[in-house]
Amino acid sequence: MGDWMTPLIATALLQNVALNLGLGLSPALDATSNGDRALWASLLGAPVLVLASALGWLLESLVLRPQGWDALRLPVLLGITALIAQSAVLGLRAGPYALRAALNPHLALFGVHWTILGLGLVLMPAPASLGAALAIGLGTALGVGLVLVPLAALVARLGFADVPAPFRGLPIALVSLALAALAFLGFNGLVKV
Amino acid sequence: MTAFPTAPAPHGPHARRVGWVMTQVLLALVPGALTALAVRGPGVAVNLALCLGTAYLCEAGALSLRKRPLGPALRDGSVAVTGVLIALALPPWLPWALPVLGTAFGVLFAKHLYGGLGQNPFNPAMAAYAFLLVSFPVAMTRWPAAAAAWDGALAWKAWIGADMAWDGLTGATPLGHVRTQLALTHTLFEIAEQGGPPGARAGLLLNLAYGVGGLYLLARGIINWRIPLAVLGALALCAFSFQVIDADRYPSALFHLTQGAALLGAFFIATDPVSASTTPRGRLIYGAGIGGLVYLIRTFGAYPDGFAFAVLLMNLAVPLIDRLTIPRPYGTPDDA
Repeated sequence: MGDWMTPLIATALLQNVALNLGLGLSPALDATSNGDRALWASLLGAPVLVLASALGWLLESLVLRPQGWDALRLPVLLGITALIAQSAVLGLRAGPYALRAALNPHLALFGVHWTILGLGLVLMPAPASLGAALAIGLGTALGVGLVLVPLAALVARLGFADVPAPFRGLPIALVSLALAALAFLGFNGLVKV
Repeated sequence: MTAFPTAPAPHGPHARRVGWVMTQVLLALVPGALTALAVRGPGVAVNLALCLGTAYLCEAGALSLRKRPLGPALRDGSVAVTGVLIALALPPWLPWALPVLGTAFGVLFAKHLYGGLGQNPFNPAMAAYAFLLVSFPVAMTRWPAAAAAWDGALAWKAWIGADMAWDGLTGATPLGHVRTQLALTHTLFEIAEQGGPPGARAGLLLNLAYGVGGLYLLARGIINWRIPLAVLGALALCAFSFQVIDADRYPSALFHLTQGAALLGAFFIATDPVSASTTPRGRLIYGAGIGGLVYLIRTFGAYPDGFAFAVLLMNLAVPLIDRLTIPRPYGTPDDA
């Protein structure tokens, strides 16, 4: 196993940003979109986060650490993620019509969604190599997708359940998220983190 | 002049009501429960009583809070199946509060918050078990050694949660034992030379008893063959593949199929008609997912057995699986 395997599994399954920190959940908790939003957010988010993580690693190892500016990790990584996320949104706005039509209701939210996931990159320990940085970006995106896409389908199904009135909507979606987090605890011990 | 009024055609067989199905499931659990009682001691009966009592109380409480009729839900036996499955999954020496707490969590959070029977995406029994396992890992992995299983005084001390040294009186399950020994860089051959994992015969017996019950459910057409076959097939395939790679470090498919929650889970838990996938292809995917995850968690994870987590993880995926595997009506064009 190379030094990319452990961070990949750790970020995708064990230190799942969506479950452990509750970041970037809104696409799944929106029962009206029937899962499309979660799917698009996860699919298109992967290249954004991989790129952000790699660029962040470059800046960190070439500029921040040699200069002793380690404390700037958070604003730099978040800034890079926001920059790439917003550029991706702009790029998609100019993209083919069919894609725009599919994404249109959600596109404005995606930039924020991906930027928030950048916070997940900040909270991981600094990657040791470019491979590890790519793995952290991919793992974060993968982990969020693994939670968001099935959870969105589940939340959509809850619309048909006879949920008690006080729990209808967001509360039961959050209870489902908690049970999903309980299930993901089963991955404990797959890699040492 | 007939004594019975004849309804108009069509004359089909009588409807399968929830109550009948649940009675059959409980009946099929009898051999397994008796075997569990024999090999694990009186704690099994205590857990059964506690879990059943709590399950009925929570069900009645939740229904009355929602001002729903109590009778039909309490009579159909579905909550009894949940309670019995939790009790059979728990270790017998457990402080009394744990079965009560776990069952209450399962019935209230995993079932009634979602609207009760037929609407819960997660299996309540496995939610209860996973909840207890991550919250009380020490108590939940305290299995009595074979010689001490029927010691009433010890069972009592465990039940009231007495603070005492359990070393020597308790032992790991066969899956746990093999795991620990392998972590100490012993090979499977060495473990077998020392007489094999303790309790392996009891585990085998228990799994066979659940298997008999499972075959009964299959024969009565209560469960579909796809889920148990896919669970056991995937588990066996994973185990066999790794055994071929290194037979010293990866136990055989037979070991995996006859130890831990394998057959109880494949026949009684994964086949839960509410939280499992319902399409034919979906059932195969769902079952294979459980089998593969069980192997992954057992072999590489932190827990000796992973059935509860595997079932909950696949429960999470069920709405998606169902949506992607809707059967195509005959004659539908390919691109529809």
